[in-house]
Amino acid sequence: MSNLPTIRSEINKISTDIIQLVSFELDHEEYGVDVLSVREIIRLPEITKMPNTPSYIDGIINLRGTVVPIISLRRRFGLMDTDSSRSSRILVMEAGGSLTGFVVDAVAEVIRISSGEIQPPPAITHGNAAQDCITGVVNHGEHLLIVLDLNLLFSDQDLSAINF
Amino acid sequence: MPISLDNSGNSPVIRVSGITPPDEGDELLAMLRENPGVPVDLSELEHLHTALLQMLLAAKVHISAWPEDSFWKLCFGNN
Amino acid sequence: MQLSSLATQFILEGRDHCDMAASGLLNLEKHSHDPEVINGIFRSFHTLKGTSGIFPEYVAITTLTHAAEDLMDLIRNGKKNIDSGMTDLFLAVLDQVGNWLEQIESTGAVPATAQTESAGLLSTLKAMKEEPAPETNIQVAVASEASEPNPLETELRKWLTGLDSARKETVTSALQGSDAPHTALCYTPVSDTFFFGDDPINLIRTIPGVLLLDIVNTSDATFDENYDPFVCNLSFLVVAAADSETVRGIFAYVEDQIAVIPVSPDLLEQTPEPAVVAQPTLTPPPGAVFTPSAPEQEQTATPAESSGKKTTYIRVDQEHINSLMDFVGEMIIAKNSLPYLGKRAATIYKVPALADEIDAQHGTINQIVSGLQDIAMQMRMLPVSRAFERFPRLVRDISRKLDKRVNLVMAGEETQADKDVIDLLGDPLIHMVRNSLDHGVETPAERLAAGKPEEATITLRAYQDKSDIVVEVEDDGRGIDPERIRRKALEKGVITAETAANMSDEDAVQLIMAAGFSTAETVSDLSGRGVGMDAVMSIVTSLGGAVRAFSTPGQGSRMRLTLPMSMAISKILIVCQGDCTYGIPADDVIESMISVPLSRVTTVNSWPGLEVRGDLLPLYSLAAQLEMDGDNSIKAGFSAVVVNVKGESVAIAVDSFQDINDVVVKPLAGMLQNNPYYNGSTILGDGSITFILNLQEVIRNANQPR
Repeated sequence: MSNLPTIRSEINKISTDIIQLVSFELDHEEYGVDVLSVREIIRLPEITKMPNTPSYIDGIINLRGTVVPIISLRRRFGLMDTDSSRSSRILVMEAGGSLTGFVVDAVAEVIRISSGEIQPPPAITHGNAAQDCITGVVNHGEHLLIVLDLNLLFSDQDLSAINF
Repeated sequence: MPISLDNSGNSPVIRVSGITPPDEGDELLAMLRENPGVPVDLSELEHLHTALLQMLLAAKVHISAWPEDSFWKLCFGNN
Repeated sequence: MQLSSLATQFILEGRDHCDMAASGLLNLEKHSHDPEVINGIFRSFHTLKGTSGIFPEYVAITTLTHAAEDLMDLIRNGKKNIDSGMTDLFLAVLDQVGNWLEQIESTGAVPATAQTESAGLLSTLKAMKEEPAPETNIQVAVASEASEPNPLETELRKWLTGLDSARKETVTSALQGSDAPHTALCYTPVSDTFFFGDDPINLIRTIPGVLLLDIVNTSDATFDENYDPFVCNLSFLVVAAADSETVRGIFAYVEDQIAVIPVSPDLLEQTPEPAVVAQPTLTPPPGAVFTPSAPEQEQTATPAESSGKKTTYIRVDQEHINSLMDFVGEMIIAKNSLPYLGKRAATIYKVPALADEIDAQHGTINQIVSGLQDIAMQMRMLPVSRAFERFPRLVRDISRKLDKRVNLVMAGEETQADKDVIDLLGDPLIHMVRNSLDHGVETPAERLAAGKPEEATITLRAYQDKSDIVVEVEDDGRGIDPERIRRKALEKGVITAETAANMSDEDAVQLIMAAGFSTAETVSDLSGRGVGMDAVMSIVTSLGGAVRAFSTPGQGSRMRLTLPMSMAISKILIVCQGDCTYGIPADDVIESMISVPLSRVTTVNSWPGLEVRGDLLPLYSLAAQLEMDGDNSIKAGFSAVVVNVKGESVAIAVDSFQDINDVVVKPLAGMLQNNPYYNGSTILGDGSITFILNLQEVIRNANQPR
């Protein structure tokens, strides 16, 4: 009876500190985004091209009646462009106030980490879209996982860049 | 709670007390419909909105206890 | 913010009363001292005071409207004259209340600083009330009833004479016991009195020395399942040991609902008239006593509502209408998939009979859906008066500030358009009207010198033109000088010297809508802040509309704004280009041609034109305009769509085109929203996505096909 409260408070403490990340692969690097921001993960459907848009916009898809723009994260991050493969996926996310799909090479898993494990991003000079979105890094097994906040892709500056 | 059903005594009684705003009308209406014939106790009443007064008159309820201010007794025609 | 239904109702009605009172005040300035109008304004303040009083947390509203009501009461009784200073003050009070209502809606509360915010208004109201009355009083309102027999008074006398002997004895002994005056009162509140926030019994309770009180049911309503607790059916009959003035004072704000007579012993002695004795019980014989007078009572109580031609609405949560519209939209998309299904039944599953049945069914569903669509659209339609409402006030305030004299004329206020269109009309109209006031209308002196009447006229006019709503702002001011516009545009680098020289006067006038162009010589606090007509232009074009300016120097100018009546569902022609399909608003399409031979394409000044019945129309390649990848030249056997863009016919070359479809256009969201080439997107029956082209933008810059 007497030690119940202590146990409970510890459980609370741990559970609030746990973050779940969807990890995905992009050009042989592993990235993670908060699972709460991901609406769904889908295979690549037929993408309707949209002329006269920035090159990193692949086009749009009809997601059960909603028109969702699809962004190639490779091109957005200035990585080498490759054709999509069987493992390619679209992460449909709530970003910038509406649904947006991001094409990634593959989705690996949902991992649970404690927020304390996230280290601040290495201080590299800014200026590249990928670096602007990095909120931290985590040691995940053998390698480093890069934590992203894709909302940061929708900064004012970025939106005005699409303002033709 | 300006309107409540008191079952603690020998027989139930509807209590209307304090200052009753007009929007209590629906509640009193429901209370009167669910408890036909149950007397109304106004002993704790300070002010009865006209809408509620009209309802008590229309329902011809028996008032089992009067408030201190005799004005209210006058409203019910000294019955 | 979740508000109680009572509070929501209060906000809705509060707004209506603010609007009614404001338009009444402006009305008063035009047709001075119409007692009906004054009473209407008084009622609005009274109701605002009463209803806000239900909510102790809105005390700031109650206090302010109470003070306004008091001053208005003096005006109503002819003790004060309303002047423009007072009108300003009342309008400021209404503005303040309107602001608070908005804050309640968004935050759930009146701001904590409310009392201090309104302190200034409050003290001015009080000061005006204290001011001695002017010598030349204009008698307004009331009085008139004095000569007519008041039906309430008749009833009151009948009640007094019909009292039983025990009660008569109560009164006579009271009269004998003192010299103090006694008064009898009959008070029959209007049936919706509770909604004005009134609590009649509270007034009765304030009467000092009540001797007799009867509360009579004035209707045959009994306590059955139809009993409505919020309709007041009571009449109060009172004898009190108080003088008539005191009693009248208590009922000052409901004086049209009372009768007061001093009580004398002989009053009780008159022979009772048979049959019409009001029983002191709550269930008189059906139809007895006061019923006949009740409807008249209500009418006189709400002059503001009966005088104006107000449309009545059922209030429906806008969300419901929106989702109804969404469902209808989805229904249309689902319906549009039936022909595809029919085609598949015939070609893939080889059951032509089924295909026929599907087609027949499609016809039926089509009819139902279009009926449904009509109704859903109709529900969203509002009269343009909603957008015009604010202008009498705006024009008045601004012209006073500018020392100009302006008469505002409004026409076609009943013209209807989709709620969204009406809402979006507001801002462009304000810009246009301000422009007229600032730059169009001259000062009275200038006007006299030009041989015009001192008072200028600004006309706001709305009418329907096919599926468009047209709104015009016209003034009889100095007009727009095309020469000055050319010079300014050159200075600001909006156009080149060459263009300026070749430009017609009519085209030059349109330059006032070019970005970064403002002709204001002095920057006033009203307009001319650099956001002017170009802002109007960008709002309107984003909605698929157009603005055109007309001017006769010295005589006035006219701005014409054209907007689609409804933006929700549109007919589009689907055209194919490369792998994609695009939608062109069917209203813009003049004709379409298939398999056009290259021989009909003539190149003039290295620019292609398409010959259509002797006319040479500029020809654009859609692929080139959209900068599509690969070969985007115009090839033999292309299809052409002749469209009307801003009043000009142009031809667009595409690969092919399909049918005209009813579609629900959804705006582009997120990363795509700023692309000017597309007005939105839609999903077709087969699930594919089509972009709706904004042709005006697509052909803005001519791209040479590669």
